[in-house]
Amino acid sequence: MTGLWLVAGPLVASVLGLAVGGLGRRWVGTVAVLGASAALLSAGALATQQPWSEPVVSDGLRGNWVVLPFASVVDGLAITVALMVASVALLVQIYSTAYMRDEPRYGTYAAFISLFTAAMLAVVVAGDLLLLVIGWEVMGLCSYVLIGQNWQEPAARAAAVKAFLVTKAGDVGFIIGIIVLIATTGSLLLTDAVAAAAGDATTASVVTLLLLMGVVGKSAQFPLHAWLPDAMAGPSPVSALIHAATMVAAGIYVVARTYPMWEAAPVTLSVMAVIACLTMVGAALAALTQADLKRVLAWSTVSQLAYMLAALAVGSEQAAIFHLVSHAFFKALLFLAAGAVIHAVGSTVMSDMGGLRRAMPVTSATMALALLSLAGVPVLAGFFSKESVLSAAEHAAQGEAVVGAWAGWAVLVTAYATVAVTAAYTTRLWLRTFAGRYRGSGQPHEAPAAMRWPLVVLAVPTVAFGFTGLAAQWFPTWSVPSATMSVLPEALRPQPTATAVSLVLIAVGALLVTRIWRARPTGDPVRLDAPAAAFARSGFGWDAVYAFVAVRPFLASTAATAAVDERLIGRGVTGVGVLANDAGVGVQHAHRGYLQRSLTVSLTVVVLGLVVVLVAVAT
Amino acid sequence: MHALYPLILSALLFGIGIYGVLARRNAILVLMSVELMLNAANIALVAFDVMLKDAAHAGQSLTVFVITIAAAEIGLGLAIVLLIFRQRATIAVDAMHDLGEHTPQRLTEGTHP
Repeated sequence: MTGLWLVAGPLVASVLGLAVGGLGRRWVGTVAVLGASAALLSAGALATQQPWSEPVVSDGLRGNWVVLPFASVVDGLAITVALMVASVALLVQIYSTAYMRDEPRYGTYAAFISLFTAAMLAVVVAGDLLLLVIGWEVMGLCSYVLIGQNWQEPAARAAAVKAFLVTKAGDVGFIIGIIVLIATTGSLLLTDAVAAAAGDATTASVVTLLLLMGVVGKSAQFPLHAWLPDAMAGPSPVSALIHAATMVAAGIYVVARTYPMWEAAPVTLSVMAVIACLTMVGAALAALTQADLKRVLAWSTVSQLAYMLAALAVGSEQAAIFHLVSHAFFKALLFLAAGAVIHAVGSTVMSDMGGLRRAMPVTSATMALALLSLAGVPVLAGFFSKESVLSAAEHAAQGEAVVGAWAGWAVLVTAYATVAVTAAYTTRLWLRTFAGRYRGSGQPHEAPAAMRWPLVVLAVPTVAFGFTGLAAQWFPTWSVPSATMSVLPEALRPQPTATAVSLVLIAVGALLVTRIWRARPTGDPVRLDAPAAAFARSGFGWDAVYAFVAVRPFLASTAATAAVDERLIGRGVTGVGVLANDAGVGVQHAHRGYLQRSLTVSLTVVVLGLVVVLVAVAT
Repeated sequence: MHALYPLILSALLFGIGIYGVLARRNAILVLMSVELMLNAANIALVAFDVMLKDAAHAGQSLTVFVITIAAAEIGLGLAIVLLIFRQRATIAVDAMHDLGEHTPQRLTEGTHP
């Protein structure tokens, strides 16, 4: 069984969804949910039928009536991530049937969610570099369409264009990197190409630096991070999908999938460590100062993805994937719960919320678990996965990684600082949304069943997933991305000192915010009108840099092009017309009908011509 | 007799004819000028025929052709002049430019023909 079957379900569902879109939302919703279920079932079938510990490379489908010449690689890493993607996608589809009940464009929406899932699964099982690029780019398209779902709003249109352009800016490097990889190794097969590139330090450095551009764009890392907070203009289930299962996960996953190549390029890993450190703490500070519920979560995604990138930089792809999967579960839960809150309150701003704990017991309970997991409180999933990143950084600080010890120290210190800030913003989010008194209008109500049950289902891995890292034969073995496993991987267990330090930091962050809040429970613990907070809220003014580096030069060049087109080319074309016309007008004078004048002219011409000819002949 | 004399006569007659065709307004005088030019050509033809002592007398035979054509041409021409005079009560050549372009127009940017 080739891994491509995973893609088939959602792909067929998206085509059918677009085809039967006119038949009514009941059909569309059924098709979409069935497509995601098919993906989950085939991922489950792969999980039970294939050995997880070694990769199974298949050549693609060569049936009687269909030929798909794409190789696929299925191993523990692919199966683990595919299970996560398919289950989150299925829950998002179920949730959407209720959340998008009144949406007139539900048909295209559900179809594109299916296509998004299919593209992500194609990236997950890709054993062929071309299939990887195809999945990667189709995801870019789907994110554009889904973020722009409410295209009647200017903000949604702008966010869709921004997401597309910013990620495409990174994809330029990604595609060049893939081309260089194919050209230097001469292989389209992912495993062969990576193994060949890993043997040559120069190739590995060039290719990974180029690929890093695409990864940074897709996974919303500095300096291509600013599209993700704006992507909140899309509906909440789309955010859940983009932030958890697809899109941002793809960047981290591709690095983990091709990790031998990255280990051969210490330069890239150093760049990666610096990017991760900057993003981690900057995004956490930005999250602390947001007024909008979903924007807090968006910035927290940027910050958490930086943890994964940091884990990759300090040499532990296991920790990165561990955090990727656990983050996917609790972040999907957070976004779906935030969707339920927005559904109930009718606003996305936290100052319109508060006190929802009583009105929405299920939502608030599940969201509390997810927030605790995000903050890294034991014994939830986020605690174990974050501790695994911290212990990987500790190992690197002791010089046990490819990257220098300085990078390990930088990651370790920034990660600890971020732990405190993360605790602060999760506490603030809880206090502003669920604690205190209700500040909005109307009567908030609990979400309908189709929205409530996905929250409950997601709460299970949010609580329990972390334990799978404790034993070496569980998650660490399931998710081995390397081609062959020579030694049993280490268990991803928390280190006592790191746990103690981060627990103290969590307590400091959370208690500080709670103390400020207790003094004035109706207000915001963060003074949002302070200049520093406004600066952090705008993402540290990074959009101005985009404007300076890309937008303004681009607009200037378009203005110059327009001027050249109008003044030079346009006038030239008009000038030719005017010239021909004027020549015609000139010739018209010879055709006024005055016979004798015409004769005089022609005679003169003939005589002069004769004279010229005679002179020419004579000399 | 030197061949120059009839040739000079021919050139003079041709020049007078050209002047008449180009400068006179009266259509009948224009036709007469055309006749002068034809006859100038005749004189030249005969003169060269004699000068070259052509056994076949091609020059003289061509002259007969020209005289015949001139007779036909003046007949047609006078008939046309007569008709024009009946319609317009004038035979001034420069008054007859009905088929000419009367008001030339210049296209400018933005106008469409």
